[in-house]
Amino acid sequence: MHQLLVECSEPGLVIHLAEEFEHSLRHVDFDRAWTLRQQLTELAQECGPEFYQVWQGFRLEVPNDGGWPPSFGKREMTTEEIGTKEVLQEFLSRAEAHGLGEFRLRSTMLLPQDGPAPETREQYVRDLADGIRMAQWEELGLFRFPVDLPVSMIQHRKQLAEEWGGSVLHARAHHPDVGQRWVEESLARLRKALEQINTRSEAVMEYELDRLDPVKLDAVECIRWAAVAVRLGHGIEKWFQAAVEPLAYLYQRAALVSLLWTECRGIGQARPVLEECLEAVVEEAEGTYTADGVAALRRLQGDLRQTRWGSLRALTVDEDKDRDEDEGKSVAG
Amino acid sequence: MKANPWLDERLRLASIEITRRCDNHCAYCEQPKEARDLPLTQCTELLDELAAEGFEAVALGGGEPTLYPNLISLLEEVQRRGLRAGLTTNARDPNQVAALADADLLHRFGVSAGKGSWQILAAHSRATVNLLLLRGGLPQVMAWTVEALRHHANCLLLLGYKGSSPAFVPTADELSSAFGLLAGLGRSAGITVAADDYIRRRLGLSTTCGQGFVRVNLDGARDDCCFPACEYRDKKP
Repeated sequence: MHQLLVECSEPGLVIHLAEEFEHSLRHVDFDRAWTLRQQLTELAQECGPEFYQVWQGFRLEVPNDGGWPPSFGKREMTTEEIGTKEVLQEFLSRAEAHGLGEFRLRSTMLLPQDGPAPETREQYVRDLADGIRMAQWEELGLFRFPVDLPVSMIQHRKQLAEEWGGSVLHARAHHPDVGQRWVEESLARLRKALEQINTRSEAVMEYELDRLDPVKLDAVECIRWAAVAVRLGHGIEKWFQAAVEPLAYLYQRAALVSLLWTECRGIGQARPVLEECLEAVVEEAEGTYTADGVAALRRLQGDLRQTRWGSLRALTVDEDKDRDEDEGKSVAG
Repeated sequence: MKANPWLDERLRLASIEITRRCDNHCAYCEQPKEARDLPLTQCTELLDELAAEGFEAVALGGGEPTLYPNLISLLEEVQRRGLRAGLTTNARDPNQVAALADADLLHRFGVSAGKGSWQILAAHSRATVNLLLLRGGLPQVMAWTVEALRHHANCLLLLGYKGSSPAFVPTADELSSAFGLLAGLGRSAGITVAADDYIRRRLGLSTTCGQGFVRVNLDGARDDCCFPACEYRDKKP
């Protein structure tokens, strides 16, 4: 339950990790982050020595809406070395009762966590960029790589696998051959079956990409279909728009680009769509994010282009050009 | 930018002014004060209307709701209609509020930091500590926060001043600092930290506010805005 039923003038809503991160990108530049960090440390000291000790070394991850179990980094060390067992126990109880989300983005606020806090603006921008790239929207059960197929396609391919693969294996089980010869022959037949399964499932996926109306699907399914679209190079714009539409924050659009870029290795027909979106995000961010927030988006953009797939752009452009020329020649011929 | 899709679990919430009695004299408060209550019979009629319209919860307020003469009867009527009840108190009678919550008549309650015996209620499992940020009031809000944590508060709610006096309106920087500090402290302590829609709009985190919300005053007039002078009143999508 995110909404608090308390305030008689207006409802209060729990601050979510995603909006806290958006807040950082909009309002917290490096200098401000340092100030906040100092203020937070002072406040932790004011809260009492136990609180401060825990603050120094304890990384708390509380159960979140995605139903993930709580994990507690440094728990043993803190308990044994600092001797704050009671405080930890209380925090554990609180975490179980009032869990809100994880702390993965906490380092962007320059708070000590797993590693050293960033000490330079460059490190801070790097943290922000990583925060965008690694955004894990557990609330949506998303951003596991690779992104799952849409549920209906999993079922369909499973059915095909049972029909085609099952019959091959069943037949091979009865075959009198033995040893390596049996293995090799079975593999060859299985390969043909898998190719059939793949061809048929791809055809169904393309058909479904054309047929389905994204409006009738939830946000998670739209992102799964967008991942299928960029992998197949089919229906990209339709499904990319569908996946972008429910996103509340600018950085989430960049995170989506990053995810889909990885799905299609940054090549093929999806590349220009993703490039265009990311450029638009950066331009929009220039009017709303801090300079460090914009720099983080630029850093992410650079990261994507520098991947081993990103550098293949020229190659794919040349290939497209060659293909166009060939098609032109054949038409002219 | 759209409304946050993860905050879509909006209750249909009606804030009802049940009384104008108040025994506090807050300098910033613009609520009219007089010895006038919404009669219980009118309250129950209103509850019937709201339940029929699909509302799920009511927040009782106006002045100080614990001064309403028939509060227990009213809460029983709320419960009878399957609605959830909440209120915000100035904690001058903390035992009464705790007893109502313990009797399951209150789903949750807010207690205003800095008022009455608010610390007594802070640790109650159904309590939310309301932290009102006024201009220049960031140190005060953070001091309340520390005190609330020392008193084992479970839930903090950051509220921005809502009224017509510019002298009390916090700056965007103050709002942003309070938002960042509270979120950071809350996460490290494993407690719930919330903020109101008004703050989200001021910080550019949302372009909508008050979905599913309606305010009903003592005369039965309805308003889907949380305060009359709000700059976003005419900018609702």
